[in-house]
Amino acid sequence: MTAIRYALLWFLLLVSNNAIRAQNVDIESNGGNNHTPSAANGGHTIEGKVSTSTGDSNMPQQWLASTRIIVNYGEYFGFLKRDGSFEISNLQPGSYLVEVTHPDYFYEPIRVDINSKGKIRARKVNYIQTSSVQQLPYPLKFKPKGPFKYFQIRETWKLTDFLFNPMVLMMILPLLLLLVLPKMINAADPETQREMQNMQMPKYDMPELSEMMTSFFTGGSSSKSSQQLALKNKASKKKQ
Amino acid sequence: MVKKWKAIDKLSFLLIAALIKVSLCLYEDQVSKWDFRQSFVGRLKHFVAYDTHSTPTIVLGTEKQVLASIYLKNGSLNWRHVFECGPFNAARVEKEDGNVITVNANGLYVRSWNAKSGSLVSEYRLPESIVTENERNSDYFNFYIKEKGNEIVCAKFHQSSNRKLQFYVYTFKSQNVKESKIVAISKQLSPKDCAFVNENYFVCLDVNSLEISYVSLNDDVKFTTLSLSYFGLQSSGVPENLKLVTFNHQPDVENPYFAIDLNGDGHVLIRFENKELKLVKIFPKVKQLYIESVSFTNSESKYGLFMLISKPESLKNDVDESANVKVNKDLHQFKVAIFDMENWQEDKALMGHFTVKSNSPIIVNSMFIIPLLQSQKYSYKILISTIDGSLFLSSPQGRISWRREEALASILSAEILDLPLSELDATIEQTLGFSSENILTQFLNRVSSQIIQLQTYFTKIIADSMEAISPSIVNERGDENDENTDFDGSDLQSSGKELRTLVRDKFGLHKIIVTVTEFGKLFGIDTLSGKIVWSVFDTDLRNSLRLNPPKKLSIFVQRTTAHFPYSAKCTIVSKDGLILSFNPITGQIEDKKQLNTQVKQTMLLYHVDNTYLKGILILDKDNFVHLYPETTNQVLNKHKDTYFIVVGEEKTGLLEGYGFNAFSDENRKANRVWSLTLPTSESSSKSRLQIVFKRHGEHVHSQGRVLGDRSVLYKYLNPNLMVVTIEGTDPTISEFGKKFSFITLYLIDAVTGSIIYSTIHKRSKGPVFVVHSENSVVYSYYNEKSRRTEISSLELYEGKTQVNATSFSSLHRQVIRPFIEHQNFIFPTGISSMVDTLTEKGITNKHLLIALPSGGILELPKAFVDPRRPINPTMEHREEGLIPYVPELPIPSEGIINYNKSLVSVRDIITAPSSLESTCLVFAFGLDIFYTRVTPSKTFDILKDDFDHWLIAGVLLILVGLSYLSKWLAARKTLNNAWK
Repeated sequence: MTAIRYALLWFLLLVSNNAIRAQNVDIESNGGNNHTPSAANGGHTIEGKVSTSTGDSNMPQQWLASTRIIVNYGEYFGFLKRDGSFEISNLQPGSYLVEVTHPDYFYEPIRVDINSKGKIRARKVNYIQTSSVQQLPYPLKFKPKGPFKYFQIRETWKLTDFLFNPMVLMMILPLLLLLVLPKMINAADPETQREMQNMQMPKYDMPELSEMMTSFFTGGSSSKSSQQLALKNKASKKKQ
Repeated sequence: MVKKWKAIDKLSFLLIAALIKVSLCLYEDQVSKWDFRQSFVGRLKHFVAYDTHSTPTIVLGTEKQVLASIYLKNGSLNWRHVFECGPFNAARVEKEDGNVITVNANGLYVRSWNAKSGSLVSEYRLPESIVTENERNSDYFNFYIKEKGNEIVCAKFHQSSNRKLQFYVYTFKSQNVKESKIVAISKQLSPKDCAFVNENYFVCLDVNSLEISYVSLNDDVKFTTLSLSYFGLQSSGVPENLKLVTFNHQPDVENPYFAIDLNGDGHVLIRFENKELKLVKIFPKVKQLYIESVSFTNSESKYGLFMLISKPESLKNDVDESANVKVNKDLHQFKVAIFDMENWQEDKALMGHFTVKSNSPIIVNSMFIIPLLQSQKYSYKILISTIDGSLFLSSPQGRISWRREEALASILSAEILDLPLSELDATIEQTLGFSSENILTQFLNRVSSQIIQLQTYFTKIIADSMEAISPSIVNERGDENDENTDFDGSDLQSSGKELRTLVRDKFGLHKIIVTVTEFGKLFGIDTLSGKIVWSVFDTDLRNSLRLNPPKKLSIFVQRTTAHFPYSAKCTIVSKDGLILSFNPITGQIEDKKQLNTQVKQTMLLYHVDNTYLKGILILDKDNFVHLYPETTNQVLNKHKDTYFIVVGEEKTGLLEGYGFNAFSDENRKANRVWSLTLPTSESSSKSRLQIVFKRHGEHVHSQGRVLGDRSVLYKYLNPNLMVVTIEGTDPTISEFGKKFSFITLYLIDAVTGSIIYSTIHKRSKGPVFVVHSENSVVYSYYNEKSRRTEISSLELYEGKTQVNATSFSSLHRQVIRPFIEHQNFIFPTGISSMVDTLTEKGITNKHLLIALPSGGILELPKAFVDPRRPINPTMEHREEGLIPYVPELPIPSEGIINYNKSLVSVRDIITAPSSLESTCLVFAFGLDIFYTRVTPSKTFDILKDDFDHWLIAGVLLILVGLSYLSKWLAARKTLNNAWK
């Protein structure tokens, strides 16, 4: 049942397509006296229209100058009129690939088949299954699919990126521990200070880190004297 | 099935996109940093229109089938259209609405254009009774477009015999054709000798019998023939190259003028008066004539005759100078005189005078006058097109506004060469040269050379500072140059400063591109600025190339700049035996020689003589060997057993290999070693044979490929392997009377002539582009059955063991048959040229550079066309880094190396290594030229161009500062503690 319905639909589609095409042919043969060289005058003509990204009816000069219409990789060319329409004439029956190239915008190519009777069919380009037909409207319509991305985006230096870098975080945390924590303890009330003193830590077994650093930076002799000074100082503190 | 493909397609596309993103792609701020594009139009053929209103432009038609609009101010392009194949017959501006009408492909396309925007207004076609599709490329036609633009007059020589001629008048509005009766015409005449004087008169000039025939189209169409002696013109000796000159603007339509160019000796002005020819005036020594409306100083607006005279004194001077070329160019003086056409009075006030600098002769091809009306005062500009393709615009006061080198639109071949060492480095080289002497002299040499270095260093500083003080001398005309650096306007002149800065840089990125053009003009182009460093026009080369147009002409680099103190030397050998040798850095022609024989094949010797010069071996049509220079005879004699040469004949498909083992001073004949006839098409004219060798002196870095299981697959690296492709048509298979074309490919050992591999692609046609390097062959063709371009890839392997790792001999390794991997891919657009990248040592990955018809150059990693790409990937394949097989190759926009600088009709791309292993230099030419550099494996050997020196320096400074600050703080703390 469904198969039949599909077949019917397909048939309808075909009919309607043919009707549209027949209309086109009619228009062509009527208007043959004006501009379009009709098929009788040797060769067939592919017609189409290229639109810009903004959809202007009149193409900007820049767009006109930089857009090219290439058929079969350069065998024939089409040229744009002011309104973006184009014609490719003097074509024998056969299959043609129509490409629109613009340096900044991408257009999808369309394959156009002209049979020996002069009927024209446009379809999607499929390189893998070359016989598959996915019909497209004729006269051809080319719309930009979007701008080309030729360039990489350069990474910019940001403060937040720098700060949240794990290496930087690893450096900052110990620094915090070193600088802030002792102060927090110092700021506490004298009771805790006394407690600390009561803990009877072995004071002089380990050299203090800060002193090591100072000795490292200030150099030998002066550091010794300063150390001695510091020692004396602490000793006097104790006596007090 | 479709869905499955799509799914695979998408997946692989993602993968591929990711891969490409990693390897390629510019940043937006790198635009024009390393690349330049220059756009050309070709040598002028039709001067169509001028528009001197708001933004003055001129419209030109050229020999490259281009219609272009050029700004009068700076010579840059406004718009440009390239037409389909077939001659560009005629172009003219319509009088009423200013549209430009063009006729091309013998009237298959008659188009009307808007001159301002370049948009198409309407398109017509001459009816089939006049021209058919088969006559697209024929030369049976002459066209004339009426000034009103409503009619085209056409003369057709019937092809049956060239003796019959018929005229047609085509009217656009009604699409009507009026036919004349068929007239008989002299046998010797061809459309080239004939021209329309206007819509009523058609004139032919018979160069051999010195007769003029003319016909009036108004009444009875019948030829009248007159001898030139009727006008009292007598020729002494053989007259050559008489030419008809017609004028676009005629003061009187009924009685039009035309002229005969006496090949530089002068012009004869002739006029139709009452349908009869009358000699008006003879202008001896006049180079060009032109008729244009003029407002004379002492009378009202009338038509004037402009004539161009180049001063004979300067010409003589030029002949002397061309023998010993100097840096400072010679001046060529030109004079434009204007005559009132009624009373033949010269108007001295309007006379023009200008000079052009050039070190080679300037032969004017055509001159045009562009009248200007500036604040009620009449003035004009002179547009001159020369035979060597340069186009320049001058004012009568002698100021040259711009100059275009249109010869660059027809480059035949190009080479990228190293620049010489700077003076400083050269002296170091010199000291290293004397290593054979004893220690004391070496020491003295060393000391003296270092003193010289110091001296040159100081003199350089002094010279530079002198230049800085007086910059006006060097940049005499620099301001003009700057205006149009973006395009082509590169002026010929190269000042002394430029020549001095042409020295090698540290990374070998600054090089010189040497090109040979179809017009016999040679150019040297600086790769950094894109400016023309030197240009030389040689008339002998021009004639040779014009008579025997080659498909490809190699520039042989006989000696590079690496052998100080010997200068570099390049040589070209034309088909008819003209040898032209020149210095690629200065452009100085060093030697010119004519062999009195046709050249069959040429080859550059591998071995150098004692001046580091590689000889050129020339095989003439009788298989005699000529060597250039003669002195390299001994080199060939010494190594004669190792030289072989291959000659392929296109028509018959005959391949012949020649050896030189019997070569001696007496016997200069090459002996045939092998011959092979490959099948081509029956109609031999259609077939095309192509032989591709590997690059001369290619570096192969790795002898094999490491597989997933850690074993090595050794490459088959036969240096004598050549790829032979034949494009032909198969007469036996046909469908609907249409013969199928085929492409065959052979891999042949050039020494023994043994075929290693062959394959055929039925129902396929060219053009075939072959990339042959290391152990791989990549080629492209068009599959007519599936209507798509396909790229086929071959790789040759010896197997898991290597027979002889140190050397390869074609003679002793007959037994080894390489095994070959072969895979086809679909390329989703056409290909106009394909090459591979080249680096110094071959370590960097190879990428393919493919020129697309859309104007882009695609950089495609060679891994994509690896024939070993597996359909069902296993772990081992993944280990090896193979991409799973997908039939369709991607064209990511990130891989387009020329981004939006599109190139029209690319003819070829050449690549050259720089001194950096990562970087490859690329030069593409066609109608446009484009130069850039690519880094297939990214720049791994130098810092990136965006490397932030300031950030690194800043961080370092801050660190040092902070450590001192902390030292000071620590000291203060301890002091404070001490005082507590």
